[in-house]
Amino acid sequence: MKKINVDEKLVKHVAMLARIELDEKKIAEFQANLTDILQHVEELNEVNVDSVKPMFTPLENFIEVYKEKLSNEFKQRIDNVRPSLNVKEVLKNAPDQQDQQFKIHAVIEDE
Amino acid sequence: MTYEAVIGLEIHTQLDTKTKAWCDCEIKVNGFENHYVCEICSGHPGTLPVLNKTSVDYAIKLALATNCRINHCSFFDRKNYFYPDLPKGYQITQYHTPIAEDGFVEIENKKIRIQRIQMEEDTGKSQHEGNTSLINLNRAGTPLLEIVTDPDFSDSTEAVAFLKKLHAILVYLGVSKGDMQHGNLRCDVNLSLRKKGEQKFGTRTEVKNLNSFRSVEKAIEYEMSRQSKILDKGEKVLQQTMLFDVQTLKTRAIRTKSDADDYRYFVEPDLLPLVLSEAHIERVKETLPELPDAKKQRFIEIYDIPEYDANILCSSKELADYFESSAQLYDKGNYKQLSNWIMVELLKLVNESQASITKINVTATKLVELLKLIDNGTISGKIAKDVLVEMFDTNKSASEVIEKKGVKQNSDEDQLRTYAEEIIKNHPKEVEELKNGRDRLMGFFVGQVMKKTKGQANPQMTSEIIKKLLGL
Amino acid sequence: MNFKSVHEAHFALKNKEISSRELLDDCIKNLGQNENNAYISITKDLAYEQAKKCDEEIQKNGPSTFLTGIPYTLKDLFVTKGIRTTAGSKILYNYIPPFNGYVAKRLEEAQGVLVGKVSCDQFGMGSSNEHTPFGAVFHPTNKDYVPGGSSGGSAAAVLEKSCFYSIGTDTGGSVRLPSNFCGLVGFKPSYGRISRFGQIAYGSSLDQAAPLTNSVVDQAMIFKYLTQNDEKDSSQVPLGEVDCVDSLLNLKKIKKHNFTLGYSKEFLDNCRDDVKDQLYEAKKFLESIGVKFVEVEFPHFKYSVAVYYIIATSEASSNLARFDGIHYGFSKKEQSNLESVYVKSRSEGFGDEVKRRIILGTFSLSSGYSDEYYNKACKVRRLIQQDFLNAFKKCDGIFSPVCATTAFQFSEKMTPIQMYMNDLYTIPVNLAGLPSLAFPFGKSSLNGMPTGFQIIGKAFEEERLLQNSYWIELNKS
Repeated sequence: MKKINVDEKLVKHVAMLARIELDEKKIAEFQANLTDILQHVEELNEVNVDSVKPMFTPLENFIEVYKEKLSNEFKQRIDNVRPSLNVKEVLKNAPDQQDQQFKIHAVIEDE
Repeated sequence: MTYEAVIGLEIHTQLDTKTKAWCDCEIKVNGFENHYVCEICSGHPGTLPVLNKTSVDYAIKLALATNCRINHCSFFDRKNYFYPDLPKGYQITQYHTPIAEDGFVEIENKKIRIQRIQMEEDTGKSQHEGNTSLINLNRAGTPLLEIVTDPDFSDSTEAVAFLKKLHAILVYLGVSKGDMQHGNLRCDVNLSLRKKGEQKFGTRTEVKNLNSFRSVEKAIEYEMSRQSKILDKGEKVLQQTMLFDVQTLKTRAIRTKSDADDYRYFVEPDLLPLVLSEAHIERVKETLPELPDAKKQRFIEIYDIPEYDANILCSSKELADYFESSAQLYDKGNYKQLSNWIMVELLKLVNESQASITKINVTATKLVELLKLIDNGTISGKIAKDVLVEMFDTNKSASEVIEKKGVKQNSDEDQLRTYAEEIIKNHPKEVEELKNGRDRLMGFFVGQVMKKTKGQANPQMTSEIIKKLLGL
Repeated sequence: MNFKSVHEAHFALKNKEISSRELLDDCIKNLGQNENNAYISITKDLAYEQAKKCDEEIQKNGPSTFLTGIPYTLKDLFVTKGIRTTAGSKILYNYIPPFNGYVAKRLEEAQGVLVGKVSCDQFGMGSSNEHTPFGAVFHPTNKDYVPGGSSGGSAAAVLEKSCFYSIGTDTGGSVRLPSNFCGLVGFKPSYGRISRFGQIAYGSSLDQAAPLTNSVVDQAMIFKYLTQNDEKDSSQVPLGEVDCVDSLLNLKKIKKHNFTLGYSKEFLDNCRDDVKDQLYEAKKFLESIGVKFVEVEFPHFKYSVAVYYIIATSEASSNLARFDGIHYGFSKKEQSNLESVYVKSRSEGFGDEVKRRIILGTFSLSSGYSDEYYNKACKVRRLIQQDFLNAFKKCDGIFSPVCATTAFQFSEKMTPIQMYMNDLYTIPVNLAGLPSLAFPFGKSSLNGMPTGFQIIGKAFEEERLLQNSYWIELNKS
């Protein structure tokens, strides 16, 4: 694991990716927090994970045990239509709407 | 300077399932805005995706039909980015381990390698009006397959040939409606140039969202030309994303690829790994229909029709089915004649009316009845063409139209001889010329008898009679 | 009314000693003016309507479920149709869900009486229930102390007796910690046991609904109604309803019940003295009722906090991307362009702790770092789970502290990482996906605050875990 230098530029870049803005004070605060946390995370360097596969769900080992009762297909939907929400409910919480659609500022790039 | 183009395609096809990828909403992209949306496909808090079983089977079908290796365990991933038509703020796709890889599709002289087939979901739609955009989520969550080829194409002809073939396969399998005008199939082109013989790849551009064969063809041609002009000047091609303008037939850049697109892919924790057993794949294999290539071969062998005909008839599954149904009813008839009638006369009417061949009045049964009436001399081929039009418009059978219009072919030898004799008597000059070798005047005499019989005279019989009378 | 457990209330209703209406009256009285800030939304009218229906039903046929007529609350991370659901955050301050989540629906069907939606640290991110614009929640016993988090509202509501039980969520200890701080029983089932549909997601591979109650039997009663298969959650293992109430109550008749607990001496010794003392007292007590102890090792334990904070924040950074000011929730729509709407809505709508975690998570997943951070954390996670699986070869469950300290005071300032350390003993359980029950035991000699321990069970063997826990409860009284 390379030693990370958590500088202001990195914090700003990551914040942009997450669509969050931070004022100067917050950037400094988060910079310190992140440095602190990542120092702790550096300890993971001690662990030899060369032959270890990543685990994305804790269920991996347990599904084996219940394989007879389950099959992967159990948690798949049969292709049958069920009613959707009423359009009023779809838009009920929308901050802005027009012509039964969500209304927003124009997207800058065209697609 | 001669360059060779290195072209790869990324094709997105909407699957023709009844419901969306992760929820039970009906897929009705062109329905009333936001009427086919639920809390799941609009990304409400606390909602979770559940995979559509049929979409998995469709993916397996396409993988089998394109000779891919199916991964027995594949994963779903999240592709994270912000866009108003992406309500969750991420798209569920397959990035690390897709459902199928390493396949191929054969076109004229080449094998085009399929790098991967991955399952993913479509976004909603945005409509722009000046300063605002309106978002409709009907399309959000529609299941898609993304098919990525290796950069095996060298020009637009190959690319279009491949697309047409892939399109036919998709429709044959019943996996996609293939309606490009309605966005069922979209294509992105990745293109770079390099000096002939060079190994290294040049800088590539990406042209996105092409939705017709013609656009793909013209976009490739334009890009090739544009890039070679740049390289000729000794300049560098910029790595850009482009859109194609169908009016001007030119590409234009929309943004330069930059670090801004960091999708932060990671395995989707809300979905389990997609595990497929051999048994499941076998079951799907058994449901595979005959594919275009195999069907074409079979038509050529069994019905003894030329490759040209087979190509046209197999270009769509419905058309091929129509031909085959007709052929089976026409049993031991003249299949080449059948093919001609379908390819020329019938298709003309179908295309004009913009109907689907499965919905027209002239069913296979009715068409075959018409052909049999030509075969047994009841009507002439020429008259039959008019009869067909009437059948097409009115849903009457051939017999009914012939009866109503009174266009039964006149094969009354005596009557025809009488007419012929009369005409011969009245046109001595033409008789003289015909006897002297102007064979084309046969047509004149036959035509005159036709006139007398309102076009119903049996042309072969008439011709024979006239020849006999004139001693030819 | 001088009882506080679900099962006591149930039998009182059954025997017509009291009505649902009267139970609710008492709860509302204890709620008072919401002085502890436990509630974000109080659904009084609905509750009285539900109580009335229950009383009619009970008159005719008696209570049809264990939960009929009994007042409860839901952490405001559970989606309730037509009832505001805020996740404890400004960004959903006005969100009225158009659909019902699994937990809400199941308890409604079980004829529970919903008193309200209770407070929590925003999106489940916190250990003290301070991180919410709806006001920090106070420990009902002493207002200077935090109730723990993130399900602090749940704990406070149960402790102040404005409800008989509350359903919280536990991602890294968010139910076990406040239960421990408030002297309640907090039970987190195995990951994949209870459907997460309608539970606002924080760490998708870690989250699990978890009730807070005054007794272990209550947990078994509630568990029955939350374990139905739900087709709407792909990560739920569909093992069906678990009704172990009878098997628990049967323990009353038997004289002996044996089981073996593994423990790490190091864990106990690293706790603050007052907590350590109580833990050893608890161990002594358990041994006196026939529980055997063996020492076990957790070689990768020390990496748990790091692994958790990488994985949980990575998943959270993605789960919270849907809060964009466009489709629902708080929006700065009057901005001049779309990007600003995103940025301003999210920056103003999310609290600092949420932002901090989103940034950490976004960083861990970003190109150039994801292999080092996210993928590595996922690998070490496997090793942490393996440690438990190895330990379980020697024992039926693990005896462990819940927290090295007790409830702390608001005035005790901590850095984020110090705060995260509160979850040191609870986090590994979520990483491994195991069930665990926090059991109250004793009081701190330092500040009088409750202390306790947790028993970690084997995956999908909650019945056994509940039985063992009930055995302890039976013998304690």
